[in-house]
Amino acid sequence: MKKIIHVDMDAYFAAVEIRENPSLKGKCVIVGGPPNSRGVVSTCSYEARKYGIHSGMSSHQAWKLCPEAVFVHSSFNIYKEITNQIRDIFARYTDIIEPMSLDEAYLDVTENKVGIEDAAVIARRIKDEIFDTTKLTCSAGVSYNKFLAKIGSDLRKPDGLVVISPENAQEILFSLPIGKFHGIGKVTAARMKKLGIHCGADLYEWDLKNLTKIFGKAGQFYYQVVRGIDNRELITTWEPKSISCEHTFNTDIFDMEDLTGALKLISQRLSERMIRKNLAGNSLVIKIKYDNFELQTRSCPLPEFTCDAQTLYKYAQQLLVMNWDCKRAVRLLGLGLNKLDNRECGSDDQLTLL
Amino acid sequence: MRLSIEKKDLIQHIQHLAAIVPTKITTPILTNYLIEVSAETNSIQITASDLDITAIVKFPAAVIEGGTIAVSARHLNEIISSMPDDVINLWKNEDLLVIQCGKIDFKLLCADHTLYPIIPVTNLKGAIKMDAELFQRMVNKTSFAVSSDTNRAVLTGVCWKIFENEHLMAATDGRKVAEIKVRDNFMQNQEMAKDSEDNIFGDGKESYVEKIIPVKTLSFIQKIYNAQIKELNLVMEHNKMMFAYGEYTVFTNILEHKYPEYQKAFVHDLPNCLIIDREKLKTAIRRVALVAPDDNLRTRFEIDSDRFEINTSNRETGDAKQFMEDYSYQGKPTNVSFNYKFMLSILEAVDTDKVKILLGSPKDPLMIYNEMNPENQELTFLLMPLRS
Repeated sequence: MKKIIHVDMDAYFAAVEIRENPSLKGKCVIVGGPPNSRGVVSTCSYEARKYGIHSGMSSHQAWKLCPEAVFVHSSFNIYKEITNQIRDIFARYTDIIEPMSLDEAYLDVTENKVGIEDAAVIARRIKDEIFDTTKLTCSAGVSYNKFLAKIGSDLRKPDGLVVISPENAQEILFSLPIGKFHGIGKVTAARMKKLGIHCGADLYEWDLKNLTKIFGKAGQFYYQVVRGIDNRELITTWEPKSISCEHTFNTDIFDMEDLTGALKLISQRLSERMIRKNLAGNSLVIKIKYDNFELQTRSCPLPEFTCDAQTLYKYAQQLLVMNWDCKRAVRLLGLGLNKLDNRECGSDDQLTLL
Repeated sequence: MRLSIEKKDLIQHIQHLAAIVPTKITTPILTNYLIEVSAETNSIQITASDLDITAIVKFPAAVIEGGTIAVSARHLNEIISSMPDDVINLWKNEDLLVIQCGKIDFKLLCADHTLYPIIPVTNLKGAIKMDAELFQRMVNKTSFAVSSDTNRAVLTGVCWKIFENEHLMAATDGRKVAEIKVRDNFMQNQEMAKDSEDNIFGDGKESYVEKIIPVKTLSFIQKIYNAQIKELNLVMEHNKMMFAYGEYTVFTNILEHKYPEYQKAFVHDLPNCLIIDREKLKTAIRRVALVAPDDNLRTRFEIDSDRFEINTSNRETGDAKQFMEDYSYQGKPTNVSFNYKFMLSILEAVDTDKVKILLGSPKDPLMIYNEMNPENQELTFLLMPLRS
């Protein structure tokens, strides 16, 4: 049986901001765009969560819910630095680490570098070391697969440590509200509630055939996880399938020149990211979000693998001209490259004459 | 509709039409041929179109009863070519086209022919007459160099530029250029008066006409070329052209852009000149390139007056080199890398036994010529190198 730990930092970005500026302590701290912008809440402190604020909500809406909240801009460089410190701590215990984002990761400690049998002991030590190094708290879930470890870390936030063993797994799963199942989103949860599935125990009653009939392939996943079965391995290396950049305008844009201007900047940013990651792509995607939030994406092949800003801009402009419904204002513009190849940009050595 | 025709007559006329039928189906009716049969003229006319290009062939057949149908192009081609060498009878029976040959019977469902786009009328008034062999030669020497990048539509065509005393065709994909210039005042021999309304030079402000013809149109004309038929008639309108050649008529949209000024990339004062047997050079490049890298097909010349080496090196497979003999070289030692497929495509288009290649530094383009140009013609090829 495997031993998996899921570590999830508590209100990560907000906690970091409070650490950097202790005067924020105890206040509703919201990391994200200011309320008069079109930004969204990226993270908020537990105090703010009491007002019903959650990540992904628009900053304006959050401000309405809690006008005294302190809005802070995100400082990604600090977050990244701290994340590296945390990953160094993980690496003392195991090399099988699957980082999910800056603030969460799975660790496989079945075989570990410190020779400790009990994964709960390792989790305790990791939590302590993280706190000693960063003064930040995290929640950890310990179990025999990824799904249960994730459930565990979520169960007693903040600063929690929950061990889910094969003996108590079923009991925990039965009482778990359906929306708390990782992999069951808002929409699926609503559908399930309509079917009378409110918690794990209800889901358990359904057989595989009916679940797959209603939810397709995901039905099989639901059937297994409610029985505590999850055979997914940790994915330690990860290759990006596409890289993209986008920009939300402060006000909706109606003007072709403004749009192409923005597109030029986005092309440059995309190109910089590609170069940094040493990647080139040969399929360009444009994303146009209109003022009514309707999203349009169109793609075109590129003649060769590239990450050159000029080339990207040239094709992006064509895509924009061909696809922008010029009667409608644009809220967001994005560009992405697909079909990536791990070659250096400019390894297409062919010189051109035009 | 009812007619009889020899299998080989029919297949000969429809085999090339299939290339016009669109592969991407946006307008289903265009997957059909429009077949019009006339008892008065004892002829059959078959049309294929992708909206940009419409090709029509009209040829004699034993017609018993006239009529019009539309029928699946792919199926008709496949059925006719599978038939034995014999007389084929075709007739319409309600919604079906019956294709009967000896003991073989096909019934092919017809489409609604009234949906077929309206075919322009063939009007040869004011047509320019041109030597078909010369036109064919000009296309052969250039069309290989077009781009397949649909994002740069203008480069997917061949540019035909007509001046009063000469005309040229050119194609480029930005990496290679092929150009053929012909001194020929065929424009002056045309029946139309220079100052008439139909004057293709427009209002006289421009001293030349530039038409960018889609390569699909030109490959079709290449396929139907027949050395027996000497005269090619063409009519130019500002965004369309019509070609009439033997039994075929082709209407084509042209690409309405300004062709890029590729001539600016021609370098006329390259210091080094290599002359070598073309076949031997091709063979050597093909051989060495067997291990060339798959991504950029890099192959390299290293050359001075007493040593000429063609080589390639590939991190994944290995390397290869060949020393060349029997060449003449004037200039300083130099080297240059290039995409070998591009080089071979150019060497294929060169006419003479020996090829003349002018080189500069590793960053300069290679200018490639016939050792001697044919009378009144000038062929110029350019190949951009690979960064070394």
